[in-house]
Amino acid sequence: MEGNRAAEPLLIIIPAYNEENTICSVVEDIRLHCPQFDYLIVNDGSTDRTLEICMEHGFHVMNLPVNLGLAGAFQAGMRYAFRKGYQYAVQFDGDGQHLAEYVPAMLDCARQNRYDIVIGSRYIQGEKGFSLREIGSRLIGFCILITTGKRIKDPTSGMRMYSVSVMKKLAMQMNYDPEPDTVAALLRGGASCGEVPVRMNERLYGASYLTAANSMKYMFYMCTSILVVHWLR
Amino acid sequence: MSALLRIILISASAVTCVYISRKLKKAQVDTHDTIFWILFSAVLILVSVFPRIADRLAQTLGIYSTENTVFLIIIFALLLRVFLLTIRSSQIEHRVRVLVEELAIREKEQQAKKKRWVKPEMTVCETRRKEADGSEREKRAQAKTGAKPAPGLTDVSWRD
Repeated sequence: MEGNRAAEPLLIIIPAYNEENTICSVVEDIRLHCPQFDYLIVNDGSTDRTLEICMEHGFHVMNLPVNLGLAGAFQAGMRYAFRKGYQYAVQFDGDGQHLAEYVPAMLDCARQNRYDIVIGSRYIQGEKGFSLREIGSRLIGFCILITTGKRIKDPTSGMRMYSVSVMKKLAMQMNYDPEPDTVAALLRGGASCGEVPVRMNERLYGASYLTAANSMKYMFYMCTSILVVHWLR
Repeated sequence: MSALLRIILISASAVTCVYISRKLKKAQVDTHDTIFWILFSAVLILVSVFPRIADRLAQTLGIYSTENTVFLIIIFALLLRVFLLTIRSSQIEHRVRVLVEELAIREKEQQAKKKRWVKPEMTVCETRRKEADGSEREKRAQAKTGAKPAPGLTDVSWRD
């Protein structure tokens, strides 16, 4: 990646934990729809053949010897992007949910409006219903509205673009996990945020991390973090 | 509950909150870890402001005094915390071990990569040059100190 850097100073960071079934199609999608961007797979200590598959195909991959979780893998990618002087970094799922064709639109939006954060939002074109997931999304959106005064339609979307102005915090500091509470904290810190309508795939393989018990925990943590902890911060 | 105990509980909780908030501002503590302490302080403040809650709890549980109920709540909360911390420390220990092992393996691999094949003649050449350098330096040292060169030192040739 060092030698032939792509035309645009944007890095697509793909944290991957046991994504052997999908990682190929994700990279193919990126190569097909936006060859002008660099991408970096961060293998988060996978126990399956994710790393081997990446090596075989010659993908750009960074290997973490220990499983750190999504936050650690993403921060490793962010650190790389910051060190290599990228202007923008996109958080991109390795399970095929996110579509690369929307990344250029996000970059345009960030450039035109000088946004620090751009979120790929599912609920600008599609209507938000009342499934459990969407109720959770509404609740977190409401918490962010109370604390920051800004309305974010899809706070739980995992497809976010960060500009260099917030990159340093994300790359170096504690408590900047790639989660909605970080967006809230950055907004409170004076960052600007925009949303771009995107569509997302249904999950191709494997089960969601957010089981019933986990999503309760996640919701509780997010709400207290946004409402209480960030108020103390 | 006596007024003094209530005041102590409230002020201790307030101090905890202020301290946590300062640590958060300096980014020295993880937000996940602060939630426990904030909730803990909130419960203590709640119980001291409304001692009726603790009274009720004591009655239903059949505990002799209200204070004991408060202590029980604190003990349970701390036990829970210790339990979770034990799990966390085991995980961290395991991770550090894996990290060190991985580092050692990588270093070993790097060493293996460094060993390259060198054409024998060229090595001889290099050895000779080294010998020449060595003898020059030794002569100079000899001239300075007047000592004889140690035998066999210049014969050593370093090869991978």
